[in-house]
Amino acid sequence: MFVDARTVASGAIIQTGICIVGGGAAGITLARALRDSRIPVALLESGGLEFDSATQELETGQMIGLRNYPTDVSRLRYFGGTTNHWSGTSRPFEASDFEQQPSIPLSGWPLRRDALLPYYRQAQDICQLGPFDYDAAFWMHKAGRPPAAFDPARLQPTVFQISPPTRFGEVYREDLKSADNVTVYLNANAVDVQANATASTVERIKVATLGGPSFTISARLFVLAAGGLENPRILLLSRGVQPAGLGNTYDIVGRYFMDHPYFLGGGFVVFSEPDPPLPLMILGMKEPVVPAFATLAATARPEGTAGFQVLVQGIGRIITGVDSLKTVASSFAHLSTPDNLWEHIGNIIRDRDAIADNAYRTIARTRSSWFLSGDKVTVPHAASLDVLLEQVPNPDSRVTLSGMKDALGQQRLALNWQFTDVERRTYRHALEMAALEFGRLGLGRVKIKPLPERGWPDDLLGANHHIGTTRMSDDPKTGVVDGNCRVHGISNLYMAGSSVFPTSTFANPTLTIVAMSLRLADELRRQIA
Amino acid sequence: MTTGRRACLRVLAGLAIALPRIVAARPAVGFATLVPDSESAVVIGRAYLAAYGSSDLWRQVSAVLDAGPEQAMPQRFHNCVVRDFAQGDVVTLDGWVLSRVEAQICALVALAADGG
Ligand SMILES: Cc1cc2nc3c(=O)[nH]c(=O)nc-3n(C[C@H](O)[C@H](O)[C@H](O)COP(=O)(O)OP(=O)(O)OC[C@H]3O[C@@H](n4cnc5c(N)ncnc54)[C@H](O)[C@@H]3O)c2cc1C
Repeated sequence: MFVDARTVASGAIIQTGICIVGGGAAGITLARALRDSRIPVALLESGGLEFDSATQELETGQMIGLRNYPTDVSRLRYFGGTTNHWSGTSRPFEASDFEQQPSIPLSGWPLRRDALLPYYRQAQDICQLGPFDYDAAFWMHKAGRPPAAFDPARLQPTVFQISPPTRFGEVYREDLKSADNVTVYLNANAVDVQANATASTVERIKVATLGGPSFTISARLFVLAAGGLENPRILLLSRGVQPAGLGNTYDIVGRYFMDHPYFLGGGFVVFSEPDPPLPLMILGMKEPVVPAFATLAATARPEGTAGFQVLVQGIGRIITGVDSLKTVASSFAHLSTPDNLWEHIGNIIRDRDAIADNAYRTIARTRSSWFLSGDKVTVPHAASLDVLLEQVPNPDSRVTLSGMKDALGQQRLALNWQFTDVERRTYRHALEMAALEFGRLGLGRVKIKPLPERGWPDDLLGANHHIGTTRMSDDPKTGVVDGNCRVHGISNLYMAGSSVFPTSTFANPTLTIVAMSLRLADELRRQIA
Repeated sequence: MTTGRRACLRVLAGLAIALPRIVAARPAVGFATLVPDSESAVVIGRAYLAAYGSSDLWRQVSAVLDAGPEQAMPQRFHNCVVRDFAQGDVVTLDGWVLSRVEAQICALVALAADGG
């Protein structure tokens, strides 16, 4: 059943079994998994069924750290949550991601990948993906490509499957509407999680609507599934019993914020041949998978580096004739001798400002307009190498509360996104591995765009993955939740979503968010029973 | 390597230009179509010399190319390049990551072209 919270009587106290805050990938998966349980479930969703700018405005936050990372753009606040515009790139985490890794501080999850495997299989269906097979060899064989000759200790061809992408709010709306035990409250903002005097049990959640009534939900179990930025914000705002925020005894809530820093055109490759025999190159066209190169074997990583993806972008693509690119284009045009790699490189070194730097800078800025009509030129046998990094846990990278308030009178969040030297080393390492392997296999030569001596490039992007802010650890001093996603010290409060991931890995998070939510649903059933 | 220095440089210059074809495993290279004093190799070579200088260069390149089994020079050269990348023995010139031996050969080409 769906209820508009603005029609609930002000001051009402609604009793339920499980109260879930947030109707995105995590919240919808949880509610759906509980729909045949006979446990009454109330799902509180801040937005309605469609985008609404007044509600979205509640997401606005302050950027006090690195770069432009508008917090109201990197997520969506209506039923379905950010899956209303996610891209669907999916891959389960590696077994080694769950283990302790010497170069990643505070790494190691309190669960092993094996424990998640049955849930991954279900999540695969929920995200409307293909067979649960992420072995590059399987996909290469399917596409009739030769096996990869890459040195697996350096670079591994890696596939990501692409969801349609599943819009959770549309695809699973009917399931929740028809479930007897589930009530979805739309336009319902959880504003305060209220615990007993010792902060050992949550008793109720206060709900506010924009310009409408306020009421409370009382339940046996509570789950915050409001996204990786909002989950810590709600805890930090819930100060009735614990002044530093609920579950924040050790000042961990909001710390360790991670995303995947993304460098457009971190490298540039000139191929030896027009159609480089890269193992996965054509898969993106024909199959619902995209290729990338990554390190899978964490054990093979050099000290002080983390995971990465190198994405070969734009082979033989047409680039629109932006003025600066005309120079690039005409320079490339001289180089059309099909396999004279040295001439390419020689000329590029000679004309570097005109070609290499402009090429990737311009590519980065005009990425979405490559196919515009106008002066079109082809860059032969070259491609840009985008790099996505695993960010490592860093306590200084964090979400706090700002001095500004939103329309509900609540302090907005402040995001301080910060990196460490590990990300710098990993960036360099990722591109070096690409350069060595492309060179060794005679595929081409790579140019690496250096990072600025201090700081980070202006065009650095985030991947809109909000990770780590209520991290999982067996030790309450290093984590907000335990291995079952329960907040340490509080008997009935759970967190769902990527805020519980203790490490970010090199893969996109949503498939794992869904798998973890299914696992959490089983745990909640056990608790209620 | 016993050939005279100038003659050797010409051979190496030819190899440098031929490299991409060799690397791409296309042995049937029309050497006659190659320009021995390629402008491109000179540009790369100059970048190498600016970064690393020319001291001992000739001896280093000769030692590398002379080592290993008796093979035709293009094959030897190709093997050296592959080995450099496999062992991570590379130089970075203007951001480009090149095998040490290929960059050094370009440097010799540049020295020859510049009358060094
Ligand atoms: C442009 C873009 C592309 C992406 N592409 C990918 C991709 O290719 N692959 C991938 O794995 N991930 C991708 N993501 C990330 C993905 O969308 C998220 O990982 C996923 O949606 C997170 O699910 P969630 O349920 O934790 O949070 P969300 O989907 O953000 O849902 C949170 C819900 O909580 C609600 N809410 C928030 N605060 C409150 C409150 N106080 N009270 C009640 N409700 C509240 C919100 O309205 C929202 O509906 C992308 C994200 C963006 C922005």
